[in-house]
Amino acid sequence: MTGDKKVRMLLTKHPLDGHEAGYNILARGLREQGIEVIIGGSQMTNEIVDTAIQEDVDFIGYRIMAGDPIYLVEELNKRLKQKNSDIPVIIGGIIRAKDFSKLRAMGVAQIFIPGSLLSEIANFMKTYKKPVKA
Amino acid sequence: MNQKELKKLKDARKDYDELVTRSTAKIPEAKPESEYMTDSWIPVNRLYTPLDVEHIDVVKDVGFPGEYPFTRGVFPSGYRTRAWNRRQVAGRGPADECNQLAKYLISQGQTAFALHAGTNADSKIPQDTDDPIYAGYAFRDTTKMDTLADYEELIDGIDLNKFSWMAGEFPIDLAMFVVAAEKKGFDRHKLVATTAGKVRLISYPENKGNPWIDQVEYCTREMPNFNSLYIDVGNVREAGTNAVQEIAWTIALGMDCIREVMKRDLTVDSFASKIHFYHRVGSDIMEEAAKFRCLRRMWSRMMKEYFGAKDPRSWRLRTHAQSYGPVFAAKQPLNNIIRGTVQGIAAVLGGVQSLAVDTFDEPLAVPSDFAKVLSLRTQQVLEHETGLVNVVDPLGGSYYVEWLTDTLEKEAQKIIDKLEELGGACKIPASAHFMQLMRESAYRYQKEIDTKKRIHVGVNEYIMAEDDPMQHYAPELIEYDHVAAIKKQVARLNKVRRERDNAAVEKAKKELRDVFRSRENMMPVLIEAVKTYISSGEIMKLLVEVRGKQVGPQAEKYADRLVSEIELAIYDWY
Repeated sequence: MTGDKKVRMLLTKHPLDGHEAGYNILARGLREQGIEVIIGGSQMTNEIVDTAIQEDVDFIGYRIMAGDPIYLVEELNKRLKQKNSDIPVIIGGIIRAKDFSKLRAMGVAQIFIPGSLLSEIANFMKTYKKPVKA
Repeated sequence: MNQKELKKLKDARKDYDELVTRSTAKIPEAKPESEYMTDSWIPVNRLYTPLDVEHIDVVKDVGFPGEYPFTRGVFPSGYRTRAWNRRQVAGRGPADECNQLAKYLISQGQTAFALHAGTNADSKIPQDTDDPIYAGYAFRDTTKMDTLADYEELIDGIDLNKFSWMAGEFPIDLAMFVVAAEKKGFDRHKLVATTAGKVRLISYPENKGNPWIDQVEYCTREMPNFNSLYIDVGNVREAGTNAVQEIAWTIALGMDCIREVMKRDLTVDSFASKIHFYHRVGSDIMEEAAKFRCLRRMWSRMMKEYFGAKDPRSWRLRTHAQSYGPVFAAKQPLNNIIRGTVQGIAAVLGGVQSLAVDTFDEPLAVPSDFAKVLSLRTQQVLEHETGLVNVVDPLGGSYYVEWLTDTLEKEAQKIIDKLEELGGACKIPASAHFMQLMRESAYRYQKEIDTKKRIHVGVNEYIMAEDDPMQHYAPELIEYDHVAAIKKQVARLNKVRRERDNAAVEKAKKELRDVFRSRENMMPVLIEAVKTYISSGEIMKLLVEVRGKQVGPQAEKYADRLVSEIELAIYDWY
């Protein structure tokens, strides 16, 4: 991700995740860090993929608190595949350390747990290079 | 103080200031003077003396415990008569698992319940567990209730006369709870319990037919021991407000809710003593203690002077405090035990009636039994090993704490005045204004973390390598099989649907439709309806069918002012 084009991301979350403080802080903080943030709000996985494609985003930022990350990422991957999309997915929220490697193996680009800094997240997206497919 | 003493003090204070100037010229303070602030950004001086509290009337403003204006506590002898209720949050899997968990916590000394068990379970409205929205849902510390059968199992074998119980967020939950309790032999009219149903006035703006006002009215007339009016400020604090805003919202929201309830021809004294509160307690010990003192004073003055309440019990603010989860970090999670302890101390110094200390593993996983009991032990150590219960309001008379109590009041009053000017807390303009304040506060906090203006231990300072043993260490994290839990709950629901008398359910549906349409008080009909084992999702569908979607008319009018859907969602919170 280089050049003058701003990084675009869809910031989204599960409909059952009500506690929104972190979500709102992220939306504003990432904008200030130069990321163009599309607010998805509460979305089911099919809605996430539709919005991401329509908005032509560089990243899907999926906030998961009450949901099971493995289950939800699997669902999201299925939907992405159906639409032939390879938009990288970043997840954040309550994610167990022991699930990190499994989630990465499922193709998750990065995982951010509570206590991550806004600059960390923004820099990750700005310097991210899509893995070359074998 | 007479003039002579005052002059002596002022002279001595001058000497001290000169001493500080000399000493800081040699060794400067850690940061510029203007950067010493409370957690809610109130600038504080280096030292407080009687000169800072001269304007405070010791009898009128501070007074005595158990006496108006209750600054020093609601009960005359504080925790000597009765320690605070140990009300840890708990919830897990289907109702039978939650019941087991409750019994285990009782055996470990828990005295009251704030069970995360309800028909909505994190959803904004009750939906049955077989709704697709629950796929992938992890039952994190929450128990999903669908029918009366779940409530029967939830309270099975628990003495409701002994343990203060909290029913769910919706009037449907109250109905199910009451019927289940009666089936177990408890008398509805004597039942002591609380509801977690905050009155929603944004999404249900009309007074007539508002389910939560129905609930308060019904309880006031039929169940006089039931704490029916719930002022939920804890969730608003957690969303990023600071202590000053938390105070302001308590008063402003309380004022608006009480005005609405009184429209049902209820005198303020008939329900005011059954109003109960939920607050959060952060880590700035002095500010948090002062906050509870300030809350009690402001609330009692509002009740007496603004609403004209005559019964002294109507003037008392009794609250439940929960530690402030947002500062619990996922990195170096054991540090959270210390945060919970500090916040517990602050709550006890503030004189709360009930306390929950968050579990250290909360940012990591479904809280384990191990962590829940550790939180309970934190409370027990505070009660038995620290001497904090010996003296009522031990911080009373501290120059700093009295000054801070007073300053918090003045700052909060400014916000309250603005909210009232905008039509009252529960109207959209006032809510939108307050939400803006909340956002600013949450964002300012995070910015300070990002720029290290504020140190969050283990997060932006004292950072460890990813492979350091302490970085992710937490004993006994729970491995919870959510897929199995959902399957089990759906199976339970289907079994209930199969076995119930469906003709009775259809009859109940007709009666529900009628009462939703007529907007008479829905509680008596709800209580009869749930006896047929109709599910909460079925009831909500009827409500939507009759009245349309409630997220509604008032909000849509202001749609141009809303940035996104999320803003709408927030209106539903309180």
